[in-house]
Amino acid sequence: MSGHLVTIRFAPDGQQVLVPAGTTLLRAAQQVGRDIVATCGARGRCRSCRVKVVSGTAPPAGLADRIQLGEDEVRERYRLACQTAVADDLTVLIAPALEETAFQILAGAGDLRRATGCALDTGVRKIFVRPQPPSQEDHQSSDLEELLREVVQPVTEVPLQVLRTVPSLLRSASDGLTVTLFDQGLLALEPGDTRARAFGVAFDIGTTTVVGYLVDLSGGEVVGTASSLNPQSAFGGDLMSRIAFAQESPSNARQLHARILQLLNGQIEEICAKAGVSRDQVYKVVAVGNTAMHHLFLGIDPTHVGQAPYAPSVRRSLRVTARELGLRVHPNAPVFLLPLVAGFVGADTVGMVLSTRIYESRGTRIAVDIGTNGEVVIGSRQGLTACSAPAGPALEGAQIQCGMRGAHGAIDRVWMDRDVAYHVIGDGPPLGVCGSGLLDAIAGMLDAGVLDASGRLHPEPPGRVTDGLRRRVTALPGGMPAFVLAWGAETAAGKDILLTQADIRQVQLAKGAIKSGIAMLQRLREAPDGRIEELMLAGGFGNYLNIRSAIRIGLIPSLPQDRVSYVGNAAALGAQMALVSETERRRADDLAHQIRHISLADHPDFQDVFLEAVTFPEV
Amino acid sequence: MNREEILEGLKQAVLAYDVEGGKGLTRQALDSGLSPLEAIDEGLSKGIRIIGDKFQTMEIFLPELMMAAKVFLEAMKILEPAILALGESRPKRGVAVIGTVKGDVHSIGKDLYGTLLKVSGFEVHNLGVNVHPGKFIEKAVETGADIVGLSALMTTTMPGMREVVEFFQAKGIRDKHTILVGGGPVTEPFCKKIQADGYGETAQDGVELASEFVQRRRAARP
Repeated sequence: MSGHLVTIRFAPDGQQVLVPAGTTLLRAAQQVGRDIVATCGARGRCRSCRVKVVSGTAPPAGLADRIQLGEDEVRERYRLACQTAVADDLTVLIAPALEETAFQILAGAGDLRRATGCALDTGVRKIFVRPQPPSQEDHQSSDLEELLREVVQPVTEVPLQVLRTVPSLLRSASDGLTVTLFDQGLLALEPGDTRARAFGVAFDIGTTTVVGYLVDLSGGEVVGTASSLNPQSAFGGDLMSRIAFAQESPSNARQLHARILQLLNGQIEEICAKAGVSRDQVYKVVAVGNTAMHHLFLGIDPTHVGQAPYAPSVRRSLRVTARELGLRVHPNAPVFLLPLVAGFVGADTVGMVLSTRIYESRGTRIAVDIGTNGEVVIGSRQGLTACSAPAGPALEGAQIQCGMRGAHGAIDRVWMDRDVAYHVIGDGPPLGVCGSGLLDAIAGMLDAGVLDASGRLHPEPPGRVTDGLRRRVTALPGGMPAFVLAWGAETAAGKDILLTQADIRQVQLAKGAIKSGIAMLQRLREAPDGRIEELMLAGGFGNYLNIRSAIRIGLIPSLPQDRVSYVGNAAALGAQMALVSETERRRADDLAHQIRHISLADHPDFQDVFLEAVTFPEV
Repeated sequence: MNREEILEGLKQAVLAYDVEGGKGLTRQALDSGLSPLEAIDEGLSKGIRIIGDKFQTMEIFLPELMMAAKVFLEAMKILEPAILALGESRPKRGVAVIGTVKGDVHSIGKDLYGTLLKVSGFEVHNLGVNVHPGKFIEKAVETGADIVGLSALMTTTMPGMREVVEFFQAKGIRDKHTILVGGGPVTEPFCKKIQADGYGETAQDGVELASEFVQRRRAARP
């Protein structure tokens, strides 16, 4: 059987790849750069990599296919790409195709200084000079000395690459030269007056999404953004499975490093081209990310981040050159990585602290980044405490039967009254439900009495439940209760979009992790709800959830709604602030030292607090 | 209250997560001359079995499971001295050594498993978290454990389970103990791959597996 070659085609464009029989569809897709998201790390534990066999004989379904997809989808020729080995020629449709996931982006452009109130102090200075080459033999001088005499500012470092260009530029540039300095280092030498052209790039390297911002350093304005799925997702959607992949072999870690670098260079090219900026005029880069993303970006093995005591290889902030890293901006541009606090409280958290200015607050505030590996920071100018609160991927729609990302076709808002009403991203028929829709639905079911505070979905709802909602309570073939969010007649696939009892249990675990993180920090800081001045929701998911729903299901404490706010992609904003302000960048170093990290798992109260956080609040 | 009413009451106390009610009825059972073992087998354990089934079908969840277990354990605190006083002992289902493997400090799932094992009659030795493979061996040999239960909550620490299995093999005592694995990222294929004896998706599955294996071992013994 094995040994011969088979052709795999990818619908709809028909791209082909020739692979040995026995190769998995996921591997085949990766070979031609077709990204299939394998959230569970290709272990057959989730549905994210499912594909539909549109022609050819569908390979036999395995146990994992049956468990994850169910008999119906298996019969409809859906398979898990990670589990399916090919024996014959096939055409498959990646579903939902990565290209279709025009997911919501948190990439607001605009004037940074107005948003953050920080002064423009980028560290990048451009000076226009008209130097002359040495003219008299008896003068002890050189090209460089003549150039620097004009610059006036002290210059202590001159990279060899710049030095090599000095003799010819000094003699050929009749319109003068522009010298670019960072600190006391000579970064670039360009003919003519280019003082108006100085740019920087800030990156927020998330486990799921990577966002790049092109910033005009002369005015502090965001002039371009790019957002992409992190291509490392093909090797595991969550952080831990990605670290596990890296620890398997050094070549895996190199592959992850290469993937992210390639993506960042692609983003640089894209935003620069759109804004009409030469990549050589990008003189400063700042990046934030969680500890594992930070390490992989630098090409440092993240293995030990995945094992207790979860120690990072380095915590302090770093400055490397673009050349060393292979980042295609000006080769001498400094690339800064903000410092880390701990294994699971990374540079992204430091960015969030920087941009929310929680460190200068009089009263106690809380900042929460809700995500697969979320973080919570509590404090004021009296001090800051942080912990990680890993919600797992359920709130991003993974491990939920009809779950999906907040992409085109996702139910993202749900209202319940006598019956169910919902909104779909893109306004077409729904394909599934995303995290914010999930939260709304559960809040509505709790209010309506379909769901009780313990999280039980009653097969026979209590009397007060309206007929419209009552007829939506159904049972899966095995007898598990489920709730119909959208009837088959309304959906893209013609099948009911359901919320099952198991889905609700997954959401309970996810929200229990976030809520118990907040509750533990409140307990340790002796800051009950009444003393919390503000709770700030950050991150991709935090900004789309409905605050009322989040409070209703007990994802966050029951504060008056006016004390809960959205702060956008706070980590990315922190990176942009460090890009335009050296004061802010240095502040990040101080903050990282000040933040006290708490490991929840070690705390004796944690189990009780967690179990309490798993249940829904009584009204 | 007659005997039937007390036993039914004990079962209901577990089902209602009523710790105080359970304690009251337990005392009443002893006062009225009921055998403590009967109070367990015909009362409390019946409730626990129903709770276990409800947990499997997801009708109830972790907090309720823990509350029910608490009713049982609090009642046991009252019953144990009485059992000892009678010179009897509760028949032991088996001995289990459990722990979270090296590199992993998650305890909730593992502790829940320990509680459920205790409730179903196992003698449990909980080694805690971040447990070196050698510790598992040491304790398993010392206690003559039937079951060695390994927990891991992270993809990155699962290889630690394989290490434990290999340690038992290297010591030549692999066939003397049943090694069970469980925890969030663990799967049945992984269990097969590292040649552990069984995988429980939930803590309750793990208890049932442990009971089955112990029965099989007992039956196989001459």
